[in-house]
Amino acid sequence: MSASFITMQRTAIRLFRSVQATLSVTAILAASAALFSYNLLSAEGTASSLVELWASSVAVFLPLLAAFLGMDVWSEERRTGMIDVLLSTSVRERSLAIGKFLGVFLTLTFALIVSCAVTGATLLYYAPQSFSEVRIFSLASAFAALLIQGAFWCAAVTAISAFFTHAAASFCTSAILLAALPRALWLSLMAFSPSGRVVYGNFPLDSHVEDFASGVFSVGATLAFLVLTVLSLFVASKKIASLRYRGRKAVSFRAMTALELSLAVVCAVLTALLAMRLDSVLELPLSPKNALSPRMRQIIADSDDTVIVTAFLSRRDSRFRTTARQLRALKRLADPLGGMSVELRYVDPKWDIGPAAKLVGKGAREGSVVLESGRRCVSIDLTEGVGERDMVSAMRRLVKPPQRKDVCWVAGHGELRTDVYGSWGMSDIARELAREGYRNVTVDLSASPIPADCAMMVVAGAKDDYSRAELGKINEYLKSGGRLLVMMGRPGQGGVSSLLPSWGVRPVAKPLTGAKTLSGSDVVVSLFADHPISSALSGSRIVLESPLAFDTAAVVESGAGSARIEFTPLASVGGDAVAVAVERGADAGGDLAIRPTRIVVVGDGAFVSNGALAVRSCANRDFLLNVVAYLSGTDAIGASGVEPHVLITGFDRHSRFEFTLVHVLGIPLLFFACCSLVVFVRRRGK
Amino acid sequence: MLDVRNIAFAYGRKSVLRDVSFSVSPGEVVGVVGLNGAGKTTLLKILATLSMPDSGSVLFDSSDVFSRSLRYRRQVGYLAETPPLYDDMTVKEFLEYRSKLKGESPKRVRRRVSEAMEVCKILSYARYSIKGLSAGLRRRVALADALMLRPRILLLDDFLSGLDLTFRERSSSILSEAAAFSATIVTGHEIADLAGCVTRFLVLKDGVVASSIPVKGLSVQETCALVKKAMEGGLK
Repeated sequence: MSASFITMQRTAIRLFRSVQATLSVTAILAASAALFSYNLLSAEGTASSLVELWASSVAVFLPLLAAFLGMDVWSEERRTGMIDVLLSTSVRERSLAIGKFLGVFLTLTFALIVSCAVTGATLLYYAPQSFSEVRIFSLASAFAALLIQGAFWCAAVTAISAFFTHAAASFCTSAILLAALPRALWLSLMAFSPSGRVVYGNFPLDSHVEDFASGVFSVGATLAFLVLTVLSLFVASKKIASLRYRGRKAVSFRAMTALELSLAVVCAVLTALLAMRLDSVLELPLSPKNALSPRMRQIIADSDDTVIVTAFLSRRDSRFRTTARQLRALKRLADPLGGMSVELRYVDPKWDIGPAAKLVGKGAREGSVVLESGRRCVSIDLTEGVGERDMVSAMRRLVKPPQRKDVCWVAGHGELRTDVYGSWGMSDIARELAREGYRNVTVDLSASPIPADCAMMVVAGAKDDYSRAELGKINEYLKSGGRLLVMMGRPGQGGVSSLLPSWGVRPVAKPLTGAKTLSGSDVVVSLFADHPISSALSGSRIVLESPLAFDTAAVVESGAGSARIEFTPLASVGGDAVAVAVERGADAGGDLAIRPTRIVVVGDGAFVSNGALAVRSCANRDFLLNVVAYLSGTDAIGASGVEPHVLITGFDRHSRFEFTLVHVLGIPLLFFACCSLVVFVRRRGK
Repeated sequence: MLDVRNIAFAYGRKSVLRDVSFSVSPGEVVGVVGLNGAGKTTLLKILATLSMPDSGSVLFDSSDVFSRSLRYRRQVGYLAETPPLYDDMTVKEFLEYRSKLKGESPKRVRRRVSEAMEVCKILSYARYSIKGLSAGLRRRVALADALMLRPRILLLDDFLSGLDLTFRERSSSILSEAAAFSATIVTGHEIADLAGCVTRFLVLKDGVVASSIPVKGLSVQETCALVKKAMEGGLK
């Protein structure tokens, strides 16, 4: 058996037997579990993956865990004098250093396995449906990233410990140098250069784990970590060897060692930089088979155009890798659908000068994805990354040229406005409508009539009552085949609520709460009616905040004459309609060619506000786009554009609380109790 | 076999060893004595390659021990002045670990450990946790570690310190047995006890070997008197 193996065995066994190591592993288990639980609850309804959430939760605490485990690997030997006994043995210092490092690394790996197993088991018990998205390759890849980082942390801690005779000093130095300082430096750099955050993305160590979890295996980053690990072990062995030199020769040895270390550092940094520069990336096939949203699949299947998708950015741009990966996935998934033909091109502005000039001539800017079909060209700016929604919107604009229709947003009664960019504004959805080809017009009914070319009107979360004259204008508009979308929060409070009963829409004063959300005020709606607006959204979810319920047994008795009225509850929660559609056809015996009146009422005044859209990855946006398409009479009604793999845990408030309690406190305490019992029984046996 | 030539060593400006030279042959047991701070422990640390001398050389089988230290250390058994042990291990576990670390083949480890424990009379403590052992027993465990692989150079610092009377009486035979396969250097202040174990005394004074006193033919009292005189500077 080699000395390294024996030292590793000794170090690992000592750690496994020590209460201090058990306590530190327990603390890290609990802390990472707490972070994971928080991230999991925040990520409900987003496109995050469980593996990514777990890996990033653990990665934050990895340097601290390594510091805990490795703080006394050398310092204890130095404090007790055991170092002399070790150095008098016929073993090389590097063998000892490697053995110590491997011992700490083995324990850290064990802690990672425990964390993974505990998280998996808890989730499997409390949220089994969320487990269907977990892929073993993704988990293995994320685990590999954590191990690669963990190896470096362990080696660095081993090296730091060799400089101290007190474990506490070693721990503090390791925690500061490895856990706090890198993040503090990064935050400082980003504070000085906010644009850097856009270009360089997240904290590199976090990005590394996320990349691996999503299947991007960076050879450069791996090599850089390995080089740093070897360098740390070199430092550790040199420091231990220097302990032999206590007299005058120590000066010359230290000078020599400093020279060797400098050369080693230079070599390591150059190798790491070279590795990062010549970074080659292996992509593991982790992407789910159906990674396109239903809306995108619909657009691709319905079109027979050829679309040229060009990534117009430098290959050295940090966004190139993810963008190229996304585009390759698009092509791979679009081809089997048999409709649209997708061609991919990459244009580097610095090297492909001719094609770059052509793209610039078409109005595209560097750092964008350009979609071309025939003479049409749509460009997506990569400043905020290219998401599924951007691609859906761009594809739709490309294959279906916009039909200019005016959407009139009524203002003057406390409605949410399209020119407000804060959480309570409607700027995002207005921009989305503009991308879809609509023109957003703001109308003040007190000062002007309803425009003649108004395709539909929107009353978004009005707080104040409309005047009689204004209600009269709207009523007349509706009677003449007008289209109206009302987003209203509370019954009988402001807006056009007094007008609606005459059109068959009666709000009910019944508070609705959601059992599956943290606050309970957010209600997840997944039951949709068979209606042009909502049938394509089957399987999707919309989220409404404290929504208003509507009387589904509404009977129109007045104001509608003898007209035929169709009343459809579009979306329901437990039998209560939270969004309804009303269509009034022509009068009996009248002209059937008359445009029918259409009204859609949604029981949440701000369900597509900027704040609501930013928080969740739900189908609210698609629901509204379908409503607008239905009301304005365009054929743009489609399926959900939400990423198909949305994280749904299915937690209700009770199970969420129980999960958090068990995961953060119960299991770590059980782990600690079991380990302590083993240690106690063992000690009693001696 | 072990040839120490003109060793000098200083802690910063304080010179501890100035010019130490002597030789130890196989089968010989040399007792290095001197006043406190004379440099006994430092000398043994140098011989165990734990410290590098400022000047001078140490030759083992005519080759420099510092340039081929790994090969040399395989031949060395070292007992530190205050022997540190791993408190979380049992006696047997510790000795097995040390035996493996020194490169003993797994097949022989158990036999070696049993032999060493038998020699040091700690077999009955094999399953005891080191943490609960007395200072004397800890020293015997460390001695078992030093003796375990039959080293050709045995360096025992403050050999008799903390050992009980019974074991001190036995130490003479332990050293005699060890001398069969090794050159032994012991240090200590118990000159009367050491006189029964060693073949000669080296008296360290002012950083040099002040006297070399062969024990053969002298009674314990005479040896003690000579050593005491040499330490006080009255014997050349």
